[in-house]
Amino acid sequence: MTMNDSASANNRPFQDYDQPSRFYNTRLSPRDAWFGATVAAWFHGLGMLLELAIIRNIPGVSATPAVISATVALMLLVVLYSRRKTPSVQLASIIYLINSASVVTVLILTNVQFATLEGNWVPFQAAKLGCLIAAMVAPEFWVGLLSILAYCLGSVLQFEFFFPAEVKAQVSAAEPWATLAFGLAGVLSLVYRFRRIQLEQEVARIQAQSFAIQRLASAFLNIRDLMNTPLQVIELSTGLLRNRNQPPKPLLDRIERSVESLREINGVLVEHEKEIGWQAKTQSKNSPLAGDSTPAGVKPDGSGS
Amino acid sequence: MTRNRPKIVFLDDSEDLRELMPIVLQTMLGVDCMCFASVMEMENQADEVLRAKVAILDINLGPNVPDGIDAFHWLKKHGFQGKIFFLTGHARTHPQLALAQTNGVEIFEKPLHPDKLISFVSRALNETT
Repeated sequence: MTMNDSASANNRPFQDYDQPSRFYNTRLSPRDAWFGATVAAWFHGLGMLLELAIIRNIPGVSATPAVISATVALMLLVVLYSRRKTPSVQLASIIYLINSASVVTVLILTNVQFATLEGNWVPFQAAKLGCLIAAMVAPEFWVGLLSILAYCLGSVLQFEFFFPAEVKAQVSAAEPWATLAFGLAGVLSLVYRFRRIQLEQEVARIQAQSFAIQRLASAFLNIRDLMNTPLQVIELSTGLLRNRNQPPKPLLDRIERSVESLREINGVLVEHEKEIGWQAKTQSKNSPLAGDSTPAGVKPDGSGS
Repeated sequence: MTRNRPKIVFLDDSEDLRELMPIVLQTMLGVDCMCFASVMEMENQADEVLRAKVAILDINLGPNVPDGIDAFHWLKKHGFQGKIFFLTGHARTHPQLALAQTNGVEIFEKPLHPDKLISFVSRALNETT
């Protein structure tokens, strides 16, 4: 590894830090992703129960797809519940995709039956709802986009290519544009949601950075706080020694030069104090750096200023 | 040895400084000094304190206790006629010090050279006598 390689390797974390990723690469926390997948599975399970209730009133529509799909939802919920202590974005995404695939399959299998047997059938209501829910709870951007496309294009393609002509004629003239509009709304909502999450994460990152700087500045302040009084003690002590009959002048001069150097350090630190503002001596005197050790040379009672 | 009535009040939470300051003032200026670690100690000897000519106050006296600014207000409230100094590490940054300065209080930053300290105290004693 050359020196340049080493330097670039060292710089990489800072480059990553400085360049925020695109919104579509934004990752939710595992807990949030898990929660999203869980909400989607609940929607799925409860939705299928409602579907079964509707099917009971419409003779001829098969209940089997809804029963199987409700069973899938139940199984997914069991997995989600049992693994809730160790959530992962990846597993949440897989579960979410299985969930969406199951719902889309049921809708595709029952759409024509509903359109044929239900006189007042409003086209693709469940698919439209799916587009919006995916935008709200998808654990990853690409997973959400894929789900929305599946709900939207699944219905549109089925309508265009697999609906019998007489059924198509009965369905509202707004189709397939209404379903496409819901798909578009879902995609835009998804973009908006992940952009917002990206901004929130950016703000949290900046706040954490600011907090770290604040802590560092506080540490400087505490160092200064602890330096002032010992310096004053040295100043007074050397003053007293100089007042004696035979003062050890070379020795005192050396001490004074050292005190002068420390005074310069003090001057540098005071600039940081101005930046972070004055704060009362709230920390334990024995933990001046927000740690738990007393610096060498400072008495435990090492009073501040 | 007969002790004179102390002319100087020194408030600081550093034990070392409380031991040194009276020696410095006595040796270099020939005046007595009474030292306190807290505002409460000062209040307990109010009569003596209020008769002093100069008060040298630290600001930070420890966590969750009245500070030098409180001591300043207490002195002003009780009619202290002498000169008040703040000797602090926060001379340039404490938010309330600017207010105190408008009341004729002088503020010095630690560490202060003993010669300067003696010069300021001596001048203050001359002004108040």
